[in-house]
Amino acid sequence: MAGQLHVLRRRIRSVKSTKKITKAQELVATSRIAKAQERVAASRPYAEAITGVLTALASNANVDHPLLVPREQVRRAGVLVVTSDRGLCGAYNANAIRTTEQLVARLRDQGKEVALYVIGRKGVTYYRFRNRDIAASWTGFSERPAFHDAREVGSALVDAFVAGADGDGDGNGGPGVDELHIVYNQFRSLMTQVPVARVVAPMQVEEKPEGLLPAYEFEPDPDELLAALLPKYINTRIYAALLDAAASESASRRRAMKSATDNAEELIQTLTRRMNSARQNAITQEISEIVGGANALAAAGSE
Amino acid sequence: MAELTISSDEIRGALERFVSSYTPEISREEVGVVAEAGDGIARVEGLPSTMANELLEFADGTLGVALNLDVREIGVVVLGDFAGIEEGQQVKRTGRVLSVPVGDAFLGRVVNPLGQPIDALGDIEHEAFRELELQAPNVMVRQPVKEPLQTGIKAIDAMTAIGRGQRQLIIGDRRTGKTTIALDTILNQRDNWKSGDPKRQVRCIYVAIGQKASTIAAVKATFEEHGAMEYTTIVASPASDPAGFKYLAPYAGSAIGQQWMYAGKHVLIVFDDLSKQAEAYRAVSLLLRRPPGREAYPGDVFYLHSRLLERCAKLSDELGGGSMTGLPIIETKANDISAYIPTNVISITDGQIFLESDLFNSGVRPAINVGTSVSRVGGNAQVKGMKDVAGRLRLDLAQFRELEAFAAFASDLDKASRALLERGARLVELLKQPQYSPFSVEEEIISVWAGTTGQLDDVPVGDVRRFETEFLQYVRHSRKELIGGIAETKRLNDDTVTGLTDAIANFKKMFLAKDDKVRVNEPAAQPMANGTEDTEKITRVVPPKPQQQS
Repeated sequence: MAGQLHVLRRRIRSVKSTKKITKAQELVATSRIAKAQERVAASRPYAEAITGVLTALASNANVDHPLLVPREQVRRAGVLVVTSDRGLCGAYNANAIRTTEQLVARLRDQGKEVALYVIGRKGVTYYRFRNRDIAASWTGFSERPAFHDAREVGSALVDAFVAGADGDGDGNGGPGVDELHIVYNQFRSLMTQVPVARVVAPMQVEEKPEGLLPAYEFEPDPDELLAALLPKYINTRIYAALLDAAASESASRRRAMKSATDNAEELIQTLTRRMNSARQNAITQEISEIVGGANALAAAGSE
Repeated sequence: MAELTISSDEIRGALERFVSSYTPEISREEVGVVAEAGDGIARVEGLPSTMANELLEFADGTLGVALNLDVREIGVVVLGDFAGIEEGQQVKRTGRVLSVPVGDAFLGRVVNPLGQPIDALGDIEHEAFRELELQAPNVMVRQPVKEPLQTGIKAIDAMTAIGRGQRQLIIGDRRTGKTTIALDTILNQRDNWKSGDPKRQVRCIYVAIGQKASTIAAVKATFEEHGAMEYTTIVASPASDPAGFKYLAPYAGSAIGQQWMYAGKHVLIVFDDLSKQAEAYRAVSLLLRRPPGREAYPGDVFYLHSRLLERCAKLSDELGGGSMTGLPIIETKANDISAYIPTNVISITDGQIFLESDLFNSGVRPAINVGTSVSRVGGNAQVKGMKDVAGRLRLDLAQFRELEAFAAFASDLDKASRALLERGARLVELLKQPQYSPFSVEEEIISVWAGTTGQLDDVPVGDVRRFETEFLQYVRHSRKELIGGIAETKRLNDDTVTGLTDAIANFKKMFLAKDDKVRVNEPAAQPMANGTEDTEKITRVVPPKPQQQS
């Protein structure tokens, strides 16, 4: 009985210390969401500007750049999956990886090989544990991605894409690919983050009939400019995805940690009740033992 | 024909002789009367000179033990059927203190706590009677524990060695393999018995208290199957026995063993289990109206066990150097070793073997928690060769346990910690052992040596047990001299070590390791539906198509 009491006390103590950790994680994640959203907002003007410039360029140039033309035969597709570096963020990583697996399964069905590019330690561990080949991986910035991270990832992907599956690799020992996909968690609101898959390259050219075009003069010519800007555009798209994923990660972690804290509180409550009743039981038993003993002695004395 | 004369002197002489030799003979027989009977307890009035623990005979021939000697009445525990005992019946003294017949004829037999056979193999010829309640050997006639008692279980012989004359508690929840350890130890004494050397032979006594009769039958069948019954006595007091029998059974077993111990022989006695005996004693005490104490056990429940276990001893050489090793078993509830009876018995014994249900369920069998199990005197008794290799084992496992919690992040750890984890996992694997397959001490030494010197580090964890079995087989067949050398000297000298290193290197070339790849059991992902994927877009403004001229 006393042992049970002891065990309950120890469990309560351990749950309490776990709760402290989850509570702290929750607070940290809450402040990170706001910061991540600020960074999304801060990145928007540049994104808008480059989109505008590209629109202007595309309207004035030939759209036969390799990044814009689907290849006739796609032998290998590259898939970039964005996961987190640390755990304790609910289903965030599981969702991203599940969507990736589904995408990979579809690509395989279509007869394409798949080269995996992984961001985040969790994804790397997942694939490494299963002995799957990873073409390239980047870790250490999942919560606070900077633009140079996105540029690093982007240039590697563009190199692989430009080389193509028929070429002899991307120049860094990795395979060349004919298609690029990205899978990440999209931030819809504080409560919902959904895993999405997007094709990054080749990009689709959407024709939009509109009245007047601003009359720009391009120096040097628009084709050359388009070729220079398209990889940069891909970098911004990857950067946007990373920022979105970072916001999702924090939101997902906040939600997971909140429910963990709530569960810990509930557990502490039930354990405390059980401990109290165990303590009362022990006291009751002791009293009844003493009373029983005293009664027996009294009865023996009176005989 | 002789003349018949009657001499008056002769007649007078005869009369005088008769008169002088006459002593008034008063035959005095005490007779008591049952004042109250019920629940296996009878209160008897009269019989003022009854001794403590004396056997009393009721009118229908049933025996009883006088436990409470009060001013006016005696509290008697009825041994046997108490249905025929009624108020007002006469009770006679027998003048015998509770004792059991003992002797070598008891080997291979199953008896009840009064020493009567219950295995339908006929009467047992006894050498003598021994009192159940006997003072334990005193300090002067004892000597320290120094001879090993091999259990044949690697984990025990290496980490918590047991010596002859030691009391080693086996404690754990229900269904954690407590009885199995005791049975394995008994089975392992077969080779000693077959050797015929009285210095090595160990006679075994298995005391079953409050167990199902079917379990006892299964134990007996196991002994017979493995040829262990010829040196074993089973003292059985199944669950259906009255509480009096259950509480006396360990003393009866111990009395049988003491006969052999004082004859200079070695005895191993297993009490399976003492918590049930304590419960039986509690029932008897409460019925006798003794004041209840903690958990309603009577005040002398500590003495109940301490006087029993004190009778296990290693006798001095003057007394023949016999020994009695005790393996009491205690069942805990929910791994709570701080309950009353477990703490009592832990404090009495010379060490304990903790069995844990968590370990048992995760496949570590025997489920010995090597961290909390200790042997306070066994180390002195350990075989020299084993002592040399086992010190390292204890250290390695202790370090492994410290790091075990981090095993999940093994890939993030530094190299040294990872090596410790790998080594620990192999050692844990090495200490696993199926039931009823005791190891000889030479093989134990070789196994533990291979584990602690890192010879197994390049064998996949899943293959360690197979590797061990096959390697031992290999050594037995092609390097007999190594095993023979260890068996003879009980040491691991440099030549043997070189030989073993050589043998293991050779064997590794033959050993085919299984594929040790991680198998992840996951369903294949469903392909994503077409059209669920967005594409990055670039907008291209084209001049509006010219309006069709109508």
